[in-house]
Amino acid sequence: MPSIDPVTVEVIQNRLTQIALEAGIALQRTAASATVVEAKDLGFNVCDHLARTVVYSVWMPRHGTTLSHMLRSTIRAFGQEGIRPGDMFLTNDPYAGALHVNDIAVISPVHVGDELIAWTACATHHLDVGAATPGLNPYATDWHQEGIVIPPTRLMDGGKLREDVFQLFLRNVRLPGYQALDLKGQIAANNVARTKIVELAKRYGLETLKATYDDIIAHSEVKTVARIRQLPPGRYEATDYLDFDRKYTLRCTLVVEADNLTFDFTGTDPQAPTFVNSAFACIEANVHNILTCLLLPDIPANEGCFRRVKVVIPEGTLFNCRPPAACSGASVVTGWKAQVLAIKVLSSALLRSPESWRANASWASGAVYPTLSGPDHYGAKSGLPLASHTTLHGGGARATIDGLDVSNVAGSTNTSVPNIESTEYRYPVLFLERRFTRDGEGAGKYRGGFGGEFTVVPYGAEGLDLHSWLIGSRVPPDGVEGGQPGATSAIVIKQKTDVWQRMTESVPSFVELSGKADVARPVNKPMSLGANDALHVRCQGGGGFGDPRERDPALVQRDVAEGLVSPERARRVYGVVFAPDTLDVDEAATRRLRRRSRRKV
Amino acid sequence: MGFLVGIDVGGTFTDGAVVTESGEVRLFKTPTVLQEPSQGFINCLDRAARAFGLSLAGFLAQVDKLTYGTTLATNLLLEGGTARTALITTRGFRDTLPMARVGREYLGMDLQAQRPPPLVPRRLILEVSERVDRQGRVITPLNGKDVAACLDRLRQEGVQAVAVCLLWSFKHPEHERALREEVQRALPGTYVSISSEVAPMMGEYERTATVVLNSMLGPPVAAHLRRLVQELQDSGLRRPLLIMQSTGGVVPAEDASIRPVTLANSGPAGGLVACRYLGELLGIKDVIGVDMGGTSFDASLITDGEYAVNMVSRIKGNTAYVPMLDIHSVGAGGGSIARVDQGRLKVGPQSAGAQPGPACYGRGGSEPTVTDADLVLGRLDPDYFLAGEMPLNVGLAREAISERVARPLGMDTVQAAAGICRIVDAHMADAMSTVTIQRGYDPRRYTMIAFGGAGGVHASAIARELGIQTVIVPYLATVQSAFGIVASDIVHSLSLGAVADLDDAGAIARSYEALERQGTQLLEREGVAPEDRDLRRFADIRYRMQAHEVTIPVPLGVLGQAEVSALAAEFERRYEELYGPGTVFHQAGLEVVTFRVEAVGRTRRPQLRKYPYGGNDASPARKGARSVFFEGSFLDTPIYDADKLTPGNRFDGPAVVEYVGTTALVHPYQSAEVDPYLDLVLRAR
Repeated sequence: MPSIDPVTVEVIQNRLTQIALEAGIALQRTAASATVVEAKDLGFNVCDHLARTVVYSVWMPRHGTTLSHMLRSTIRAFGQEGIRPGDMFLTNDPYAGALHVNDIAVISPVHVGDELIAWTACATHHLDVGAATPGLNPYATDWHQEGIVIPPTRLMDGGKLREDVFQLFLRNVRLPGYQALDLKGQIAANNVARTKIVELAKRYGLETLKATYDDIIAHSEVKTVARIRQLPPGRYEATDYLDFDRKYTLRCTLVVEADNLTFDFTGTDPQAPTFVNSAFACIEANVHNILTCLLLPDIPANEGCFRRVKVVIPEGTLFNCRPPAACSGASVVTGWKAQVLAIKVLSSALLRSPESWRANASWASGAVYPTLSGPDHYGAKSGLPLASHTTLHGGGARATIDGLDVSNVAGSTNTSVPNIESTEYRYPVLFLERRFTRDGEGAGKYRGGFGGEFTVVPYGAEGLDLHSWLIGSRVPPDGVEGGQPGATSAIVIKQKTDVWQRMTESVPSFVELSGKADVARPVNKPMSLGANDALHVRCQGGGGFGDPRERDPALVQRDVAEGLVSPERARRVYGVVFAPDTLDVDEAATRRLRRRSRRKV
Repeated sequence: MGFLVGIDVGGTFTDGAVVTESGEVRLFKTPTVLQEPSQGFINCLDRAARAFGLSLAGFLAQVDKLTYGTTLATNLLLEGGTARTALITTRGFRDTLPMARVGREYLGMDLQAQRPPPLVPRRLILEVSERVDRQGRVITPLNGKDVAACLDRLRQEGVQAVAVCLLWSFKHPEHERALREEVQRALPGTYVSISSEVAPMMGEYERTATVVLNSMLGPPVAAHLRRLVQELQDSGLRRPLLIMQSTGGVVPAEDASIRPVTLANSGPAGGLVACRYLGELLGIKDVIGVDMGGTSFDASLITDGEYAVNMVSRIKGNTAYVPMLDIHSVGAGGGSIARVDQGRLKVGPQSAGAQPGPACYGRGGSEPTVTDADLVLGRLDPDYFLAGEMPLNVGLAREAISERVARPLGMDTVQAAAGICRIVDAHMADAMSTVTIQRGYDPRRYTMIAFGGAGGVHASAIARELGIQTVIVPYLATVQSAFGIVASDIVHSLSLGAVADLDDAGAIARSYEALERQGTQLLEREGVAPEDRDLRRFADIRYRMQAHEVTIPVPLGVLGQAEVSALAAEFERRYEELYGPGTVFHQAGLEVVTFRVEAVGRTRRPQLRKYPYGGNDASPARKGARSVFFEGSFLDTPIYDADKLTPGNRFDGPAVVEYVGTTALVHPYQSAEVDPYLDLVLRAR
């Protein structure tokens, strides 16, 4: 390795990170779909000429790993001689490394003259890829029912867009208007990065740039190893469950040994006959995602962080399915579950280390997918992606602080939900409420974050079609060290309610509406939502950390005064007693109750 | 004609700039009185009055324009002292503000992240039944019983201010107005602001955050301005007191009291106004203004003579609809600390601040900073820092760099110091690259104007990174902000969120009519003569399915189908400029999301004096020479006294020009020329 001065390395590394950031901005500002523009579900990598990731996705982190898999698949498919200046490649094949079919990657080589000097890669979630149902297909039994699968394919040929491929894609999706802009945005993002990397190479020279790549990766590896050394060697095991068409068992064992980590998912159930499976790359991506956020948040993320990390998954299981298994649910079902398992095993190692303060209880991981469709205000038939409103998941409690309220899942660090006004502006619905779920936190010495819930009714449309499925309605996010689980998720429907009579005077909450509450199953047949029907959706709360009876009574009192926790729950779960008709903590009674309940346990 | 006066009250100093009828600028610096900022303000005026041999009353009587830049709102938000505020919202949506649309992107990647403290505790967020739909039609009328219960709670809680934000209120403001009346009747003296007035735009979370911040700032800002105006009038001021907003325009004190949130980040605005003024004077339309001080580096664009403005801003951990000059701030300055991390040299974001400050201050700071590096490289004169008021210790600087950077990296001290500067310069260039790409421009078309204490030392290196050819260090570099405040006009930024298809010319015309009526009324009330009024139209346009808008100027006068089509073409031209060829997607259709009108009241602006040509020989200003490090080696470098340079003076780099509060570096590849206003213009040879 040629030696290179530490100043130049620092300057180039900062510049490369900036380039990835600017490319993401370019995509966001040109794309159309709310998933990109508002939820910022995108990834952008800068990789070196050897396809090693030098800047791991600065946007949604887990795209970093899958982009790296897709880049390698692309190189395998086309060979060095098939990759020319000005080319770009398109793929969304889970078996080539995509998170799931909806995450479409555009990958671009970067050349100076004829010499390959780097790669850039951009992924974003497309709302539709032409599955049997709009969006994800929860009824799929094999991958052919999940939409168009594109193996690595040339999209730009020597700087020219291949209109045939572009049209092939648009003809297969339900929202060609949005998705044409999204895909063009991905091309623009790669263009922005490519131009800037070429400038960088011309300025510092290729040899310096290549030496810098090595240094950047080695630097992160050294720091990662130092962090791994703080974990006591040993095996750390965790089990979790996935509730869909049935309850699946998921297992992970973390082996810490000699500067290396192995996440071994042996013991996880065989692959399912439906869409909740995942190919290998998606699970590895979610493990890497948690590593960067939980263990290595202060270390520049690149290939160096993952060299000492091995992910082992037996083939033919839920976490590493074989074709033709359906796996479009991988991103939000299996992938999020893998995040929780990674949090569990890493936290259990951390709790036995000097870094115990980093440990987390389980974050909410239950995907909730109600999709309404019908004519929009422009008369076009469209799907209302209510899923962008269902990221109101509660964060897991931390070893020394409460969990984040409505945080989204652990690894989705870049997200936001739409305003109600912008949703009502586009789609024929009216919201009756959107709030924190009272008593929905996983109780603990440090409590989990509250999840959120909302209620919508059709408005300006006779009726809407509802497809729905959800995870986590039976299996909640776990607490640790005596902490309790958070609330489960739910989709509930009331038909033929008195909503419009009530609306003449007040804005009713879901519980106030007349009608029988029908709780949806994890996966449901399509149904129609009539003008007087109401749909209620609840997201999970985060798990708690430590015994709730050790929680500072003043903090319990604050949550009660804020209306987040009921006085009954304060007494029953936290053992906090208030003086009659007040919110003043009765300290003597609280001590007595806490002593008594401890004895009972 | 009388004096034009700008007073800029900062955290430590209150700067005053007085422009006389002959265009001479006089500057005054007095300490800020933190407990009572209006005292420091009056002190500064007093000092100015005496300098002109006048009593305060005599001076104020001759003041033609008095403008005030204040960090009061910023400090209240940063350090506390805002009003205890309650929020009233539509039933079912109490958690709009605390949910903050999830907003994880602002919390960072670390799973230990925490949210900023809430603006309003949840117990002070009250709900009333009422509901309006997307077209402004009432579904549920305002529920009287809920309102009564809400007023009871407000009485019990004893709040100082109330904010109201209801769903779709910008389409139907009547419910919010009724609530304001009820609150004012039930709790006289309570400060109330409503979202349909403060930020009438779509998006309930941002609108709520805006109106809540406004109410939190209202009572203390209004009280301060009321006292100050009273005192100034008692002392003889006959003109309205004008307050600097974060858009670079000023408004009379009473308007600022109604919308104090517009002052939220007005501190850096003055400097940029001065940049634009200078640009106009010198005939430069594209300017990057950079302000580098001890702890931060601020960069902002002026393109075709227009500021870059953000319509949405981050304030106190929330996203609000407060238009602000788009000033990109990086935690990098003279005080940024250099350290070695696993064999890698890092600079910042930690800063030594003013206490203990850089090692060379000799106040006990042992960590090497950018200022220490500048000193070791000979760029600063240890005996002429702040005109010699604060001698710097080169030995301490050298020691800190040698111990903490050079030795661990196996470099010599000078190499290490040069490395620190290279990293910080590249970092600032990266930041500016983001500013320009977000706006879709190429930095090379700009001229850089560098001000602030450390600006002149680093500007040229940053400019070179970005391919910028010309750097100007203004003569007023260290009091740029106070001068800018004098130079600003009255600007009311009015907006209306009323989504309309771009082909609906009638609806568009009606929206502008309403805004222009409002703007004209405001200017009339402020006594701006008709010939000094300027109305400017803008529209935030987007493709029908997108969420990001591009702000396009709209011509005045009748808007027919032809004008609207021209607007669409202009949008697509600008869109391609921003995002690159091939990104337009005509079939999507266009819509206007927000209509905007700027009602400008032109005020008297300073006419800077042109100094006479002094010939191209700069040697009379030469005060010595020293060894200064440029690109790899120390060069014998002449030192010039900025106060002795005259227009027309020319010299080639390497050179150093010393001002009272700053230093400008002329690199060997540059030449310097003094313009008629005594600014130093540096060009690549």
